Amino acid sequence: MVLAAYAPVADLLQSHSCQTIIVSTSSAKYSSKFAASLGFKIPGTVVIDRKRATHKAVRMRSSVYASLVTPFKKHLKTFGYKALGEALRVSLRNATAGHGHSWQQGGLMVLEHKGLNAGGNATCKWAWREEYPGDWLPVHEVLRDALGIDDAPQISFPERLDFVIAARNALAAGGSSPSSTSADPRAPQMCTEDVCSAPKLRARLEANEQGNASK
Amino acid sequence: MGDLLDRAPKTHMAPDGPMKTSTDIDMAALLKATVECDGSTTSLHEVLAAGTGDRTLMLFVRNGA
Repeated sequence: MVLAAYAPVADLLQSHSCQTIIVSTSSAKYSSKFAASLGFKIPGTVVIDRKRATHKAVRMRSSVYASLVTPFKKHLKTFGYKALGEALRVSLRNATAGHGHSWQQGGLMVLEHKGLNAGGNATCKWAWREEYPGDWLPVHEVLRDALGIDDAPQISFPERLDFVIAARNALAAGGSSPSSTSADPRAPQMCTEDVCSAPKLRARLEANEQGNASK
Repeated sequence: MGDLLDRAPKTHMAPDGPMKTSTDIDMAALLKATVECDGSTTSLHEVLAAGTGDRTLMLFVRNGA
């Protein structure tokens, strides 16, 4: 979802002399298959950090509680206790080695590093550490506040979910990527559990957006 | 139930809890961190230096997404 959210502003970032680096804890094999199954261009350079040295350096949160409980605690009224139990079950069942570190939270950092090749320094200018999965800031606010880009479009996370599903379906229908076919048992599979269904995910994202709007 | 959830153990990477927007990071460790990029093992310093522009937006994604 984060990748899909930043895909529409990739060119805008580049035009403002800002490169994008995506840090993943997944295995190289999983990341490669995941990227091939997306159906859209990844909006930056992917680096893999299985040992989470970068996460530790920038003090990203790592928490079982934040991964499994907090998202549903935040939206318990929307989903109820049954959804919480189901999410716990699905999360634990899907926690395979290649997926990456399940308890590591994500976030955003903006670094300035003029003349790094010539011995220059790098500094952190802006940071956002997610407290739980889905603790995302609106993309246009990130670009405005962190990078001074005032003309970024407003990105809707629910719309991005629809986009991700459509892109994956189109790729699967076209068969242009071998890793996206169901014949490859190693390819990442879409979760078919009800809690991961598009309507449930869309409801979560809309609840998130309403929460952000009311802040 | 709400109290139970509040009392559940919490773990944090930083000893002083999550500092959501702090720019106080260990830059030396960050630049020195070993990462895989395009099939090669390198340092984040090299990745930053190889890119274009003087600024970088780093997206730390969960489970590859």
